[in-house]
Amino acid sequence: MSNVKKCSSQFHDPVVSAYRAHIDRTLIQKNLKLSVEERFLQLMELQRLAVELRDAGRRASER
Amino acid sequence: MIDFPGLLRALVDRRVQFIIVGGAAATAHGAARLTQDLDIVYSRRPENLANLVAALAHHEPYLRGAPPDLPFTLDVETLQNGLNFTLTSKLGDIDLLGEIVGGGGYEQLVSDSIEIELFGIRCLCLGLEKLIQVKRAAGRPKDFEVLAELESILDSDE
Repeated sequence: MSNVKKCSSQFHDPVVSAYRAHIDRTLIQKNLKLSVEERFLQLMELQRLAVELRDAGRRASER
Repeated sequence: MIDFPGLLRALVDRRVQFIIVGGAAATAHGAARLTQDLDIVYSRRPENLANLVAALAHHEPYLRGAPPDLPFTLDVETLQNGLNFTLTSKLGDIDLLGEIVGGGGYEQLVSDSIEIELFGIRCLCLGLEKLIQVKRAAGRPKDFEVLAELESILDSDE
């Protein structure tokens, strides 16, 4: 297994750097406090919400 | 929606050799974005192909986006004749990847993977640095934002 710690400077790309300026770091910090399992539980909740929203949108457009 | 515990349990119970990559790997590392499928790189060794087929056999694997009447069966021969498969299943969408751009196959990626435990299941997940590397190699515009997020996570981890 790889355990060599690196940092993002090795990947420098101006396009990605431009995107980084708009990343919400508060969400990342919040996620990094969670366990891996909690991150997946959150993802599944988000998927459930996405399905609900999609269905609601479909029902609304059919009215 | 993906039943992550169900899919991972099915794979691990059948001793499938696989590595979680893509959006689910990004989630494991702390990314906040929504992914709608499970991407895995699987070992192409013959016994692993048989295990993979057995793992998914009871979950109605089918080609995602294909007409419903296509004569598709996920068996060892199908896996041998192809490489990457985007599938639906009763447990959710799963992409079976024999290789990924910039990373190669299971044997090349395993040393850049980390063991994670979720839902009581231990499995391999592509390490953060390698995940960034393969997403860069893929060169897809849709990955720019997730790359920015992953690089921020890499710096946060230091």
